[in-house]
Amino acid sequence: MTPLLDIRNLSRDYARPGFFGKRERVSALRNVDLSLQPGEILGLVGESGSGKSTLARLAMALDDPSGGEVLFEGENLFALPAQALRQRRRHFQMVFQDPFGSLDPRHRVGRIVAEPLHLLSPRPSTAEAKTEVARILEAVGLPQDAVGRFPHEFSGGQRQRIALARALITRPKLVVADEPVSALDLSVQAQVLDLILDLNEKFGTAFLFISHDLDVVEYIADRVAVMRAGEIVEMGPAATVFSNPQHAYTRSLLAAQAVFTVPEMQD
Amino acid sequence: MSASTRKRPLGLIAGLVLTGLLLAVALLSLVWTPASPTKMQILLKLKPPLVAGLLGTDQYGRDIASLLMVGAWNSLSIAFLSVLIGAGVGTALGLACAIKRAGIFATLVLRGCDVLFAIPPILSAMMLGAFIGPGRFTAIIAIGVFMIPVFTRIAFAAASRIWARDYIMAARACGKGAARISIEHVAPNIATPILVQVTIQLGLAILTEAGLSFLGLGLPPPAPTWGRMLAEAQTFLRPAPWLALLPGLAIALSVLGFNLIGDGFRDLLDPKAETGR
Repeated sequence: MTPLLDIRNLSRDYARPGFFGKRERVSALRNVDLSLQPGEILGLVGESGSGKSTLARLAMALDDPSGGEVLFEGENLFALPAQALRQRRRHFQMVFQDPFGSLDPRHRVGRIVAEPLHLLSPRPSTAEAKTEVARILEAVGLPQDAVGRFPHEFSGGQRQRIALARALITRPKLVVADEPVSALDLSVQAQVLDLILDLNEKFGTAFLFISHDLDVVEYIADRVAVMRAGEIVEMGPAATVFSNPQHAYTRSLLAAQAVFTVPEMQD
Repeated sequence: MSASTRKRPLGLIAGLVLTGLLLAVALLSLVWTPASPTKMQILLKLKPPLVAGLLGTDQYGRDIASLLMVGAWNSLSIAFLSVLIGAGVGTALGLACAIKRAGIFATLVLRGCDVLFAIPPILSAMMLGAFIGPGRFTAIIAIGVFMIPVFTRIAFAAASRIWARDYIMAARACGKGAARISIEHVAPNIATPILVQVTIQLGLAILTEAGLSFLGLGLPPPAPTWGRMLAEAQTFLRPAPWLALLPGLAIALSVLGFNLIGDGFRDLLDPKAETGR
């Protein structure tokens, strides 16, 4: 079975201007290999600055790699002509960490959610778009009157639902979610995670779920990849990685996590 | 004492009233003036206010109230059109530059703005006037071109900040191109600073137009302008000081009106300013 997303030997360097015009090269991603099956939730964990978000942008073809390729359904996204890439975009969408920055404050929710619809061909009529928006708002658990309101009228959790609705309206095969619950309260986190699991089941959408929170990833992911300093150090089924970590870095991540779980167990 | 703790935007209200009055007078002059602004009555020359006409007469016996009213229209129309040119072209350039900030286009435009900044509008009006002769068009173009770099820079700075937002990334993930993103997402989000700048530049445009007219580079006679009234009044400063005071006051009040609106808008629309309340 060909994987839905196949990342091969992907690297990304950034040029950072140093002193006296000398340019230093900083490597954000080094020879990363990663693949995702249709309908799968792959958790990507790692500390801040480990290259998770760089990987997310590259997987979405929003940035150009320094080397390697990203195959979506067997096609290298970076080799496609611009028009063809645009057409493919309906199949992979993105959800961002900050629910206050990822929605245009000047647009109403109906317009925000309908944003990717122009990628469909034939392009849906205004009436069709309206039905689609109504349907997806219901699927993410938002009231229908949200359509005419502005993002600032909603709470963080509701805004993340809006972002999910926008990402899912074209029925994509893959959603890249970059820390989608990190900015939310714990109780709201659980609601959004359950919603993602629910949508994964209902629409068969695969998720590349990026987080620094191991508990969250353990809860949601089928498989886990652990990143450190731009490289993937360990990958495997979630249960295996969390119960029997092979890499020293994974063990230290889990150990650091344990410190915070102990007081909860004493209650 | 009012129970409300919110500071009332008194400056904004005063500015709106002043500008509203000015606009009303300017529009009224198109259909009605107390007397013809070009009709000379030498017998009634240099009469003080209320002796002949509401605001007196000038050295040719023309009614000053009528001259000021038509002058208001000339001033405002030139100011509005030149700011429209400056804001339109400048904002479009700024938006385009923000797409690729270090690109050749952005570098050329922004350095071009630096060059344009160095040329005073009076000088460019003189050069333009030498080519096409003084007149309304010359004044509008000269002032408008001078306004472009201000708007380019403000639009560029504001748009660059917007381009770093996640909702731009989301729009790109939806397959939108840079031009479409600029129009649909960036432009609406930089409207506030542009609007504030428009009101401030309107005041400046009126001042510049008066300066051009003062030097004889604005509208040619007999069209009345505040600047030329001021220039001609110099000769009669001792016997008829109202000749200089009245157009001077008109210029000062209209610039004040626009500046009050600009400041008021900024306070009203800038969320950071609210903490000071």
